[in-house]
Amino acid sequence: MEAVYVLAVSAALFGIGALGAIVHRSATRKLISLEIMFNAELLLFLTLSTIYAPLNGPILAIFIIALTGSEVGVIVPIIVLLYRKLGTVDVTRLGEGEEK
Amino acid sequence: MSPSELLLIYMALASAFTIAAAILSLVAKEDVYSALSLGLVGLGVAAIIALLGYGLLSVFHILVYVGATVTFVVFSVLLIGRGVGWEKKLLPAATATAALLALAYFASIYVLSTAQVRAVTLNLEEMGVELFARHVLSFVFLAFALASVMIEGLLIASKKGEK
Repeated sequence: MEAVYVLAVSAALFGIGALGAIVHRSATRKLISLEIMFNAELLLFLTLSTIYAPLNGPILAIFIIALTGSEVGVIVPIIVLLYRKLGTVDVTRLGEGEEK
Repeated sequence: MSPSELLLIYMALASAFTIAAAILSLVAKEDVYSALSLGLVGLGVAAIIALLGYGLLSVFHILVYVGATVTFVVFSVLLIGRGVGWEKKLLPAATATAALLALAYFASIYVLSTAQVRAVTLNLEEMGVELFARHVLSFVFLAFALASVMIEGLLIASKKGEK
């Protein structure tokens, strides 16, 4: 199977994620879109690792997936804190100060 | 039907499922459906990873990413409630930007497209030796990073972190 098929899927996921990250105003929706972009990158990384580094690629991918879990573990509490402070997760209203 | 043709059909199905889930995540009105669709994207990506030959990594992706990370996002979205919508004015420009970005992304990796993807065969022993013998320090650092991030997350979300 040629790599171009998987790379095309990766590019499509990256584009969809980028579109979501630009148009959505909610911090959670932006996070979800960025996670779609992460999935696209992981797919690209593993596709290339089947060609160039079949053994070391998945080891690094394990670290990447675990670190993404920890990244979400920090960002989600920040969003919850933002919601508690402002009463909204609208990123365009971040500079307006406390609402409650 | 030859195994390579069958692999291609499975790959096409998994790819279509993943892209459909990503589009659903983008257009869903409620944040919770968007987060659930992210879980479906994770499952689709795990299927493609398995088809590439990384079966163990696919299981790891489902357990850690879909099972923990996405579930965490779903519960947080349930806690926060309804979303705030999207920028309608930005939509044409954003669509053009995202399409150009995806095209540029694809063009930059197109040089590799002639390469053939081989389904890799890896066993658990090989991966275990690689992970716990050669990369043991990285593994310990990762464990500390995860532990510190968990404490950090708890502090930020708790009442004490607010003061």
